[in-house]
Amino acid sequence: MTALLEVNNISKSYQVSSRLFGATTESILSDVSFELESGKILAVVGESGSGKSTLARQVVKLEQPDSGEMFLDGKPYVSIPDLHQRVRMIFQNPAASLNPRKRVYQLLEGPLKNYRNLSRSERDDLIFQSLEKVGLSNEQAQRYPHMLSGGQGQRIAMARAIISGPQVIVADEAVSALDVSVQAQILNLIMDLRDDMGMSWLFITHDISVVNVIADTVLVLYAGRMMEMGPVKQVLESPLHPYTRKLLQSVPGVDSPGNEVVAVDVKSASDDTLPEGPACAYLARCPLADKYCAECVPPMMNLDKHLVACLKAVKSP
Amino acid sequence: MSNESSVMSRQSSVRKNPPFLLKVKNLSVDFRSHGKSISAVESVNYDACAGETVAVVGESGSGKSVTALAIMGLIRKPGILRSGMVKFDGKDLLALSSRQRRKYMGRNLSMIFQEPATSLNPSFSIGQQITEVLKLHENLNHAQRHNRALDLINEVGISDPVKCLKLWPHQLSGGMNQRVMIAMAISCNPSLLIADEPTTALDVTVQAQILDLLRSLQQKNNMGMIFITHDLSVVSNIAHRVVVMYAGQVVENCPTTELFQQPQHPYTEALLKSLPTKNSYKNKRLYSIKGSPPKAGERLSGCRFYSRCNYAKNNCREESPKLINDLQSNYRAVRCFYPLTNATNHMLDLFDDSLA
Repeated sequence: MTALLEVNNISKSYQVSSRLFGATTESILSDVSFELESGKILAVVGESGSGKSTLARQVVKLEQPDSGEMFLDGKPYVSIPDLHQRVRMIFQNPAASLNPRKRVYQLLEGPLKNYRNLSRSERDDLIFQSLEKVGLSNEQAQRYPHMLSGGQGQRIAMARAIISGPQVIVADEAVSALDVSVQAQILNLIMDLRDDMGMSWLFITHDISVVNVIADTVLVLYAGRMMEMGPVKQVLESPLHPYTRKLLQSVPGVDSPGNEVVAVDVKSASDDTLPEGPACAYLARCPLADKYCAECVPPMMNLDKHLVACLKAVKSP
Repeated sequence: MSNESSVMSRQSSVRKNPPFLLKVKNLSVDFRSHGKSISAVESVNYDACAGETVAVVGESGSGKSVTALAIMGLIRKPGILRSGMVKFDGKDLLALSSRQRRKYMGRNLSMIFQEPATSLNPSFSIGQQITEVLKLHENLNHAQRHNRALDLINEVGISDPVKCLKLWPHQLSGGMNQRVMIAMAISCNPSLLIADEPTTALDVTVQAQILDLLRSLQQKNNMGMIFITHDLSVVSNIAHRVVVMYAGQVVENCPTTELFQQPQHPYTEALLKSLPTKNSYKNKRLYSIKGSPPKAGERLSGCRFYSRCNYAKNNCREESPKLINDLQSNYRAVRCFYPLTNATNHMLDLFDDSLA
């Protein structure tokens, strides 16, 4: 079976201007590859600055990667004219991503007008159908975004994403700004939409407990490089990469109240200077690092569908 | 278990002799809008002892931050402090004149805000901002202030204090800025620190560091702390005691371990059930609370959680329940006519599910 979405070794760097040295390029993503099967959810986790959102922008083709290829349904991205209909995106904050001057109806009408040649009544039908799918009533169509609550706003953003019948939805921190009770509703909705419409999700988040509930596979990014990828259960229960272990330790859990999370080190990712030349990106913070780690970028090893880029990775017995 | 018992013992040692450091009583705050008066916070009661962390949790709009602002005397028009009393160290904070309050706040009582990037002034260096607090409250000369600032920066775990003082807020990351905020807040050794969502905007790894830092500072200075958050997992991690707010009221107030083991208010129970946890079943639907919280201004009679409550009975719609102390358990209060007991509590189901 071929994967629905295939991303092969994409890299992206941005030009950064500095007063002293003029423009320099800074590599944000390097050699990221993954496959997403239809009807599955792939979660991308990492700290801020790890390149999660940059990855999202490449996948929805808002930007062109410097190198690497992407395929949807076996066809390369460049040969798909209606890509923006088939790969859609949901942003973090509905209050910021929905145009405040437009009514819900107009917001949902936008993608249909842009991509499809439909009559007014056909558009109406689709709009009301997608509102129903996300659990809203037809009356909401005449409202403005400021009249909606956070949860309703995120539902509209979702309706806007599913209205063109996409195959892949990229959700960039789609539940991070919501309260717990609303977050639960939206996560349920994502699972329902996946089951009813069979679409795949690239779910970007920093919340590990959310990953555990909805995702099938998880990809851990650090400084734009893939650290670890594998089935959720395997990665969360027996992480192989020291960074993943640290990330999991930092998550406070309610399962064991009174358990104090321990801050493992004092530095945070953004304070680190990344190693120069080929070396492991996690070198400076890694407790296990030795001289070999400073000599090469660790290759991706495949241990039973569980990929890890670490020279020190050992499968626990 | 050892962890739990350590929290328990800390809990009881903290609460043994409660001359409360902070006592908030019947605090109500209204906001005027379009000629109408909208109640944001309604007769809120809670207290905190020295060395104790009290977490205030609730959804957005539940009045957590407004209560904190009222304690600090920061409610401005169109907000009105309708009634209430805030006693801190035996002093009535609300009776202070603004001149007295300026002298008092920041010294004995200080606050950390949610977004470090917006609460630091972008046009002053870190050093200038930290020494400004010292200039106002402490009688120190320039060199002493500078040294004190270096100590503070060191204390919050920034590795190169000399360099840090010369930097500007935009040159530091979110976690570093938050550390600077904490350094400013603790610069005069306050006996109470109010932290309003101090880790919400931060990554989990940075969050773990900040929680660690706050905990160790608290133990060192025996500081009381009001920790406002909407994240229950953070609460379980840092708090001795939890105050749960819903639609402007306190609905439950109880020690942390008891809250997580046996919530008494249906809202608290529902909140805990809707949390995705490490043990959540894969692909199992999460529990979600039906309906949405009442909007400000449309507060009805009866229990405010009535329409969303699974256990509601007829009288819940008509009469408003009061916050009642549980006499059996120590220092536990709940605002419900039918508080959940072991028999009715569905949390057990949750744990059964996760074991299955």
